[in-house]
Amino acid sequence: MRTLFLLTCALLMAQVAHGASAHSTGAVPDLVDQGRYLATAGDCASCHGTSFAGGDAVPSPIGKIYAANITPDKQTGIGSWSLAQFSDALRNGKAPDGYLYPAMPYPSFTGLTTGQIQALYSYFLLGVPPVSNNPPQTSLPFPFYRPMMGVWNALFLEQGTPTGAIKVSGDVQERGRLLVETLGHCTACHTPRGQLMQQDSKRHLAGAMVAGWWAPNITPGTDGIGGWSNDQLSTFLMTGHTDIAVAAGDMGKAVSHSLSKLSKDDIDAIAAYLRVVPAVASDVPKRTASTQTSVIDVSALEPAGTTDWQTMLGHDTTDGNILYQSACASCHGIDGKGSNDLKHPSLLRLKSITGPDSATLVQVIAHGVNRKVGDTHTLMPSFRSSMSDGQIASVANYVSTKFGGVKGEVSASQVATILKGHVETPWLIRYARWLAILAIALATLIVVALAWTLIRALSHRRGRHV
Amino acid sequence: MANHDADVIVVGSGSLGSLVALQIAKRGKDVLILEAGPVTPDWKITENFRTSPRKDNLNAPFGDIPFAPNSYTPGYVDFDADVAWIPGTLRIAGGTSRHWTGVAWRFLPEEMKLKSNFGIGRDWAFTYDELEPFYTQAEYQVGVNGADTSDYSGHNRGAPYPPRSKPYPLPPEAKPYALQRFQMRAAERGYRWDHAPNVRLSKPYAGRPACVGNNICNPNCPIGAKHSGIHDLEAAQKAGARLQTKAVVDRLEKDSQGRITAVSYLDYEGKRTRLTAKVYVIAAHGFETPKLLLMNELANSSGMVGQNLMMHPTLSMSFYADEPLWVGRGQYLHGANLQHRLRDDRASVSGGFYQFMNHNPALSTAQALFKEGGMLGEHLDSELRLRASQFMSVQLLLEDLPDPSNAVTVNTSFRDKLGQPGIKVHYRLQDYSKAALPRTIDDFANWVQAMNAVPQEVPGATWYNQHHIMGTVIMGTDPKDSVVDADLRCHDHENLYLVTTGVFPSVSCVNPTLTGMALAMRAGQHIAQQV
Repeated sequence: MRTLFLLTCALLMAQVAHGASAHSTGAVPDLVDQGRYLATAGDCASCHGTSFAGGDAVPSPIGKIYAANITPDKQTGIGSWSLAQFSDALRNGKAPDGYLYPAMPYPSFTGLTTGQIQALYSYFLLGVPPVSNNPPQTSLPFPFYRPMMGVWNALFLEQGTPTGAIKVSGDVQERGRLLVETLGHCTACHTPRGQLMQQDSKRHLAGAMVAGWWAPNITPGTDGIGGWSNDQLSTFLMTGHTDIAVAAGDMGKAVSHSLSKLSKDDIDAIAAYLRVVPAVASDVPKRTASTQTSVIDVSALEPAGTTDWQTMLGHDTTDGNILYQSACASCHGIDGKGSNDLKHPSLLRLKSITGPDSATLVQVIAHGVNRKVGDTHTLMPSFRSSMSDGQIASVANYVSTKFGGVKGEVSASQVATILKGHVETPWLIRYARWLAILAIALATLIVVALAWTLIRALSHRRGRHV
Repeated sequence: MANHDADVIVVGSGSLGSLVALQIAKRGKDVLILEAGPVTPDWKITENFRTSPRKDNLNAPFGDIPFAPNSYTPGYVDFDADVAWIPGTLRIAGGTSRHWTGVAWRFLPEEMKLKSNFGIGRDWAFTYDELEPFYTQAEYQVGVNGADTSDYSGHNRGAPYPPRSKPYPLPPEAKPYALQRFQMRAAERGYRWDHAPNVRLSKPYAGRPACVGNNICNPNCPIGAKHSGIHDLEAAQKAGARLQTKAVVDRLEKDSQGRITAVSYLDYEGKRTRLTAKVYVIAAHGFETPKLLLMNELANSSGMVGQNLMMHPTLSMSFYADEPLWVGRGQYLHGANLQHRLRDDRASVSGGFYQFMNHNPALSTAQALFKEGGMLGEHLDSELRLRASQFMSVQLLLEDLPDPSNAVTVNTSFRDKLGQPGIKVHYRLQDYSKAALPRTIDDFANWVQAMNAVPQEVPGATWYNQHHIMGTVIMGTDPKDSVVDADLRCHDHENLYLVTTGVFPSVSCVNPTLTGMALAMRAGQHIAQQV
């Protein structure tokens, strides 16, 4: 009943919004620069590509969702969309050809004002070169068909208010809220999700697993960014590199494409807002402490040289000592302390090592770091092709235990799961297909029963008449 | 036409073999690479190097495989030569470029037409201009740092030379302090030090990180900043090429028309596998390629297979300067003096260039100290520290000319575990190379004076050579005195190609690998059109 009510309300509101924006003007050349900056802050490029022609797959527990072509190409892009349609897609998750999946962060973008929408529209229509490209079609299994997202929106989309955004006062914090909650859609990764992939607003920004990476807690508590200095926070956002954290994977992309291109004032506003969101404690079990070691006696942990060719050319050891000293120490040092300028980070300080989850450490060993910020290209090589899952686990455990001060306990099979990008699927989604079939069967049964009762009642009445 | 096991079979997974395979696989053809050795990742080689007591043995970290010996396996190479070094060759996935230093010169147009320009040696079967696009392709494939403004002829004419169609993919790295000091102090005597183009990345490139100065370019860059054949092999596999390791190729079969009909290999258990393809490529470097042909009596109607061995005769010199220079910071080789590379007297004196050696000097200075003897304890320690800080060494690489009597043959007195023979080398220095000694002594004397130095090694006492093997399956237009044509196809066998630095008819004085890579890119494009 509630769903039906919400759905009706949503439809009515959508109608109102539609009606209002229909009268606005379209793309305006003067708004292109503003729109470009908003698109940068919205990090559209990370999913839609730097040319915005789409095609990258956004992984989800339900299946791959392909980013659309959002260049102004008339056939394959959004060139023929009206401002109203554009607005409807960004704020309500509804494109002209059907509902969007919330992999497109419209539950965040819904906080955009009409003016900001128009600036974005002006940029995408006038400031982006059209590219003809048909990205692969997203095809999720039953019952997650596009029309079902209407129901999802009715349940979880709070129009005009990004999920989890808090009330703040003052220009700086309000600007920060726009950048964090609306444009930056930080929640899309950093907030854990519930049974139907809706964001868990009680654990807003408290850390979540995304496609095999750990997106850490960024609330102001001790489990989050409470211990970070303002300088560490802003340097991380602008460059992706500090003494305690290095941006890799999707965060690396967010820094490359978006955060590094924002003004210092905006970076400070993001930091200011993150300092005032409610602190949420981590719900991940605390890890067992180990003794941090920075004195390594290499001779004690290495076998004497051998001339046996099979020993020399075999490479299946899972001894973390040997693997670390052979593959990692040349940059991070035999003692894990990195280089003096910390361009090669100290493994005694990195949050991805000392933090609650080893997934990111495993991902970085496997895939390396490849981040371009302006003219600075930071690259750690990938070890996926030269180490087995078991060897990656050994390196992760060695680094955690020896340098990170927390006991490393990742297994080879966990490494395999992490690298597959696996995220634990909520049971409602896992069984959604059967639940939906069951629901349909139940509904059919009720309809049949009702019909049966009706027919019987009618025939009774007739009988009486007869 | 019978069904084949592949469109193209490439014997050898080194840089050149892998680049040929990459070029062919990229064009949608089925390529199978046969490699005598196993796949071993870089981190394992780093481990082997660190725990090895044989730090001065380039091949040691790659193991002595009894089924596929390398050139330092005792007895494998019978080396009858008046130069000091057996070239270090490997049989492992990625090939000998697993331990190359990574110097990536281009030849000069003049050097590829030695006969026409100077009346000596031989000409290449095509011009520099024809090779130029492939030099560029190779440079972009492997990632070369270079100075776009340098005149690499040594004449300092103010314009870049040799001509290039695209800038280097990466900028030159900074010159290390030692080289800066040497450059400053030797400049007033007329010496110029150019940047030496190389594949030790100055910036991240193609998934490889920039150099951090571990200074062990040989035997193995521990972080993959230096290119090696393993990168080319991975690229070829990514493009679809297949790899069979531990496949020791020893037989090639031919039909009455001279077409190759099959190749066969032994695995380490001695089991034989016979395979067929439309085209066969031997990319087994300058020793193994002629050995395989000689064993099978192939491609040799000219009698030139194995002959014309050239190895870049080398003079080494070193001194202790009057100031700490601290060589060993950065990479092995950075700077080059090219002033003798292209001179008017080339007809009688070999072209040559000096390379500034930036190896960590601990080993060589310690060895010299121990030889002198008489020092112990703290005195020894402080003397070692002082000398290591003041040490500097330079190598002169010289051109040698094709001479049939300098040759590689089959060494039947050696048999490996599979019963395969070894390699026999006969090599004698030529007067052409030796003629460069007097001017080298002059230069060395100048440098010793400029640096107010004490000589350690004076050039000429020992003649060295490089790990460069060239000329042994020589290229030419006349089938009567050469093995392959301009496309690297054997004159005698229309579907057999030899992709190795062994095809060079003239060798310049500079390191050959980039030129070999360019040839591989060119041959690969050609072969892909044939199948």
